[in-house]
Amino acid sequence: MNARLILVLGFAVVGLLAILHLKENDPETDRTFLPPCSFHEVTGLHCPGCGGTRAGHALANLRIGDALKKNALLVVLLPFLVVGIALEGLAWVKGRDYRGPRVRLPRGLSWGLPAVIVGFWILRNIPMWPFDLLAPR
Amino acid sequence: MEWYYAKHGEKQGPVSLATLRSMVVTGEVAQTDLVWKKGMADWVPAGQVGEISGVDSEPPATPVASPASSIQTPSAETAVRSPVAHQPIPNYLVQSILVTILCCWPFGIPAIVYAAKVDGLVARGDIAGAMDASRKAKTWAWVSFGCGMLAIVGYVALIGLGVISEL
Repeated sequence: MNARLILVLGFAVVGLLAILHLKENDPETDRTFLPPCSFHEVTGLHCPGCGGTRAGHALANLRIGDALKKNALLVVLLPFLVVGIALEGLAWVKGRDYRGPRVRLPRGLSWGLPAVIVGFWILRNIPMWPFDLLAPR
Repeated sequence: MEWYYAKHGEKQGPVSLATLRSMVVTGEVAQTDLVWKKGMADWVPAGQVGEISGVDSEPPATPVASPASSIQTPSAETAVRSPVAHQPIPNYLVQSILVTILCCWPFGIPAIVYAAKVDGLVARGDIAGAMDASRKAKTWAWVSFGCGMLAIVGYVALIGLGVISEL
């Protein structure tokens, strides 16, 4: 057991506890340990992650439709992020010996992904239909 | 020069030197995988061929006299010279997206832009550019992470003040 492995395992345990906590507590009514978005608090605008906590609460309770209403981008990216976090954690533990797969971006997407995230950020702040469908609701 | 490499016991290729170098950088071809080009007596591990594994090795300026002279025998010097070059370049894409979505501040955006460039640069053989983009992605991701942490600490502090004022 090296230090990195212990850290990653600790991180995984904290992550699982956080998911359990998120499943049991609705961020709409109970904000204990579920802080609101600081960008939204300061600017009043929605960031690309706004609604993410509520989406996570809905997902943890298997309500995918509700989750999509809160933050569609996060729901779409989540499977890739989960795999990515696992692979990056593994690569970090193994250090330079790691030869396994990593999350790689297809060539055509090198501008596409930043554009999608920035575009999502801008569009969900436009207060008219259909853009307001992207804002947490 | 056309190179061949062996993967799972099968001959692959031919590929150009630049392609083979980028495959070593991404880890698609391991240092221990065998490579061969015309004129070489036998297959050798990619890590022992200086022009494939070395990032800083320039292409020979003068025509090589004999094929064997472009091949470096395994030596401590080769191993010590560029230990970093023997690892795939991390793109920090996952980390960049995470800090953008979780920390909510615009500093995650340059992190994603740089992270998204890393693999394309590697594919084009621009190893130095890819390492630079990788470093910048890492830096911006940490900046964004730091801001997010500060915001959470501030939020907790505000709650703490609220609790104290109610006592």
